[in-house]
Amino acid sequence: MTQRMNQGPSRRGFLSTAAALGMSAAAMELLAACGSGGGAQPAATGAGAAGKPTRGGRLTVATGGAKGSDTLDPVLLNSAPVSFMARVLYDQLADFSNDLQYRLAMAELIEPNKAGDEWTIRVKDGIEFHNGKTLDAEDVIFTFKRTFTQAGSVTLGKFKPYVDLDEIKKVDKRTIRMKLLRPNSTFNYALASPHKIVPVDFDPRNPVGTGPFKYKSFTANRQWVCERFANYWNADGESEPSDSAAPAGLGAKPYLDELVVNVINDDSARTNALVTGQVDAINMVQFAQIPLIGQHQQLKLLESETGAWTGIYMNMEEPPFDDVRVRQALRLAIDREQALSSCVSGHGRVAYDLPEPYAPGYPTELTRKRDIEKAKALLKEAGKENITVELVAGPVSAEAVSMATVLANNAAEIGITIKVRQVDTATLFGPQFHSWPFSVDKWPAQGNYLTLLALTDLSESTTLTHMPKADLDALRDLHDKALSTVDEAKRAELTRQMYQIQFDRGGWIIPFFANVVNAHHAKVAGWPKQDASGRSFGNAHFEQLYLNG
Amino acid sequence: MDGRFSGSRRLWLVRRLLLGAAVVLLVSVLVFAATQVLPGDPARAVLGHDATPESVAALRAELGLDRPLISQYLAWLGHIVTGDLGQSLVTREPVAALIGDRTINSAVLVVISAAIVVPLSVFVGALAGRRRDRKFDKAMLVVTLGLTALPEAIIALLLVILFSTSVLRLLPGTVLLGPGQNPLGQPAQLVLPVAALVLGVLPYLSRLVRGSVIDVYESEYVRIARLKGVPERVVLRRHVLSNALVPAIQGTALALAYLTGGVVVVEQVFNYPGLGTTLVDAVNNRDFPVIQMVCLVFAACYVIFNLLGDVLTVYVTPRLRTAGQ
Repeated sequence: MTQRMNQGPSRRGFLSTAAALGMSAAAMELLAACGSGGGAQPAATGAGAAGKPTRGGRLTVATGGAKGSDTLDPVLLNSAPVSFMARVLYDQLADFSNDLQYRLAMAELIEPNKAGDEWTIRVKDGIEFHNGKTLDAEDVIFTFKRTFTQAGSVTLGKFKPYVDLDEIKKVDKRTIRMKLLRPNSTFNYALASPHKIVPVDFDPRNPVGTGPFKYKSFTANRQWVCERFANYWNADGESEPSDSAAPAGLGAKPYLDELVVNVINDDSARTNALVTGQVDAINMVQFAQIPLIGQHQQLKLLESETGAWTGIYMNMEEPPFDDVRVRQALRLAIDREQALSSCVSGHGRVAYDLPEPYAPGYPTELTRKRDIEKAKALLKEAGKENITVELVAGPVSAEAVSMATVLANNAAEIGITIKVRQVDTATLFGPQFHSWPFSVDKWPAQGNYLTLLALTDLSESTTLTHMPKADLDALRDLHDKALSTVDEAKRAELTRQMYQIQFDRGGWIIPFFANVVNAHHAKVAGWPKQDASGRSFGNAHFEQLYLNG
Repeated sequence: MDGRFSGSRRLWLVRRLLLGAAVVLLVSVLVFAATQVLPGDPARAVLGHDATPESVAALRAELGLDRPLISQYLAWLGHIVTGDLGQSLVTREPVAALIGDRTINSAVLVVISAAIVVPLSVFVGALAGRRRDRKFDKAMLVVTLGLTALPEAIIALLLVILFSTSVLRLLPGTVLLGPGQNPLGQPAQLVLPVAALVLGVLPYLSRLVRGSVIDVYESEYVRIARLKGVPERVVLRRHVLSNALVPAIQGTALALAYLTGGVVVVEQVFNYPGLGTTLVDAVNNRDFPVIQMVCLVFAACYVIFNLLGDVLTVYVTPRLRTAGQ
C-alpha cells in the first residue's frame, strides 16, 4: 500500500514540441485521412477478433512507468509495473476485489479478539508455491520478519506501529496468532493492501510465490517473462466481473501459457506499438490519445473509475497556509469541472478534496461549489490579499502538472499569484520532499481511510501537510478510537468525523479522481470491467484473460 | 600507413592522441561536476519517497556519497583507468554489464546509419554540385533545407505517422528487443530509427559535399582538364571526386559524432534499448556512475571520430602527408 505509481518523466518535452508544430493527434488523423484510409492490421495481430476462445497462447503487453531500479522483490514496490507484476507472481492472505471490497484470499480466517489487539490468521490447506513447497504458518511468519529486516521495505511503514515480531506465535501448522503493540481493528485491511507472502528462505533473484504465473526472466526497465503456473491455488476461484468472461469449457486458470510484459515508457511509442500490432495490450493510455485508439476497429479501450488520486498539498507549517482561511479560499477557488476536463479530458469524476472514495464511511454529502466571492472575502479577512506563492509540481502522474496550472489560473481570480515551478520526480522527491510548502503527490487507493491517514497526515516521518497540533490531536484521538473498535458501523461514523476535519481544515486539494485507461486488441478477452485500485491491466488479473484465436 | 607517413607525422599523431585523451579527461571533470549539481540525490531516487531520513543517510554512506567530492572523483577516475567502471547505484549491477549490450545496440544503429548516409550524401551532393542551379540541385536544396529545420524527434514522429501508425502501416513504429537479443535479428524494426538518423544527417553532409564539388569544378585544374578534352565523367571521377574527398572525410567524422549524439533522441522515440535510453533513465534515477560512463563513451566517440577524420585527411592529401619532411 505504500507503493507509488510514479510515472517517470518521459520525452514529454519533445512531444510538446511536436504538438506545438501541429503534430498532434488531430494532425495524425488528418494524415490518416489523406492517406490510404488505413490498411489491414499488420501481421502480428493478424488473427483478428473473430476467432473462438482458446486456451493457452502468449500475451504480450507493454507498460509505462518502469524504472531502472525495478526489482522482483515484493517488499520493494516502487513503480507501477512492479506493483502490478507482484500480483502476478505472488499472492496475499487477504485482498481487495476490483471494486475495492475486502475479501479473504489465501487465508481462510483472519480474526481479531474483542479489543482488536490480537489477531488469528489461518491459511488455506494445500496452497502450493511455484517450487512445490506447501504454504504454512512458517512462511507467514517469515514474510513478516523479512518485511522488517529488508532494507528499503516499503510495506514496513504500515506494520511498524503495530506488529511485534516477538509476539507472532505459531499455533499449529497453518495458524498463527499475533499480539499487536496496540489495538488495530483494521489490521486485516493492512494485510489486504500489498503484503505478498513468500516462502521461508525467499531469494528475490529466484522469486518464488503462489501467484498464477511463475517467473521465467526479468530485466529491469526492459521486460518480464512469466509462464503459467499449473498448480495455481485459485484456479477455479471466481473471476472479476467481465463483459467477455471466459466460457465454461476453457478449463482451469490461468488460461494463458505465457505472459510477456515489455517496458515502453514513452506514451506515444507505447500507443504506436499497440496500433502496429507489436503488442496486444497497453496501459496508461494518454487521455489525448483515446480518440486515436477509437479509430481502430480492432482495438478496444478498457477504462475504469478508480480511487487513486493526485492531490496538491499545502504545508500548514508554512505561511500563508498556516491560516485555514487561505486553505479554504484555494479550495473554493479551484474549478473542479475545468480541472477534470482540461487535465484528463473528462475521464474521471469530480472530487471535493477528500481521498479514498471507496472507504467505509466516505461522506458523499460533503461537496463544495466554486465561490470566488467567498474565497476573496476569506482572504481579505485573513489579510492575505494579493500574495504570491510557489507551487512545486512534478510528473507524479499524467495529470499532476496540468492540475497545478489549472489551480494557478483559478487562483489568479482571487488575487493569489501561484508560480508553478516544474521539476522532475527525482527533484520533487529529493531532500526537500517533506518540507515543500506547496507541492503535488499521488496515492493509489488504499480502500480504507484509516490506513491512508496513518501513512500521510498522521505519520510523523512522512507527513506532507504538517497539520497543526490541535487538529492532529483531534484526528489521532478519532483514529485511535476507530482502531480500537471492532464495530464496523461505529468505525464508519468515526471515519466520517475525521473526513469532516479534513474537509474543514485539511491541506489537500483533490479536484478529481482520474480514470485508469488501458487499450487492448480485440482478440484478448476476459478483462475485468472495473479496476478501482488504478493499478492498470484490470488490476493485473491476467489469469482470467484468454485469446480468441 | 606506409613509410611516407613517418617522422614528424608520427609525432603529430602522438600529440593528437594525447590531446584527445586530455579532452576526454576534461569531459570527465565536467560530467562529474554536472552530476553533482543535479537536484535530488540517488539515495532518495532509489528508496522512493517513503524513505525516512535515517534510511537515506545509511544508503548515502553505503554508496560513498558522503565523502568529499574530490576524493569521490579521484576514486571514480582511478577505477575507470584500471577498467573497473563501477556499480550502478540503482540496480547495484556492474556498469559494464549494464551498458555492455546497449553500447552494441547503439553502435549497430550508428554504423548502419553511417554506412547509408555517407555514400548517399556523396552521391546526392556530387550530383547536385555537378548540376548546379538546375532542377535537381534546386529540389535538393529545398528538401535539405526543410529537413535541417526539423529536429530528429519530429522527423522520427513523422516517419512513424507516415509508415507505421496512420497513413501506411508497413513498419513497426516501436523497437521491442528482449534483453540480449541482437537488433540485427529484427531488421524491420531498425528501418525507421535508421531512416530518422539518416534524414537527420543527410542535409548537412550532402550540402558539404555539394559545396566542395562546386569549388573543385571552378578550380583551374578542372578547367585545364576540360580544355585538354578530358571526357566529363573522367573529370568527375579523377579530378573532382578525389579532391572533394577531404571535406567528405571531415564531414563523415562530424556526421558520425553527430549520429552518436542523435541516438539519444531517436532511441527515446522508438524505445530502442541503447545508450541514449540508458542515459535518460540514469538521469531520472540520478544513477551517477551510469550517467558519467555513458557521457564519457559519447565524448570518447566524438574525439575518436574526429581524430580518425584528421588522420585520414592527412593520408589522402599528399601535400599534408609530406609536409615537414
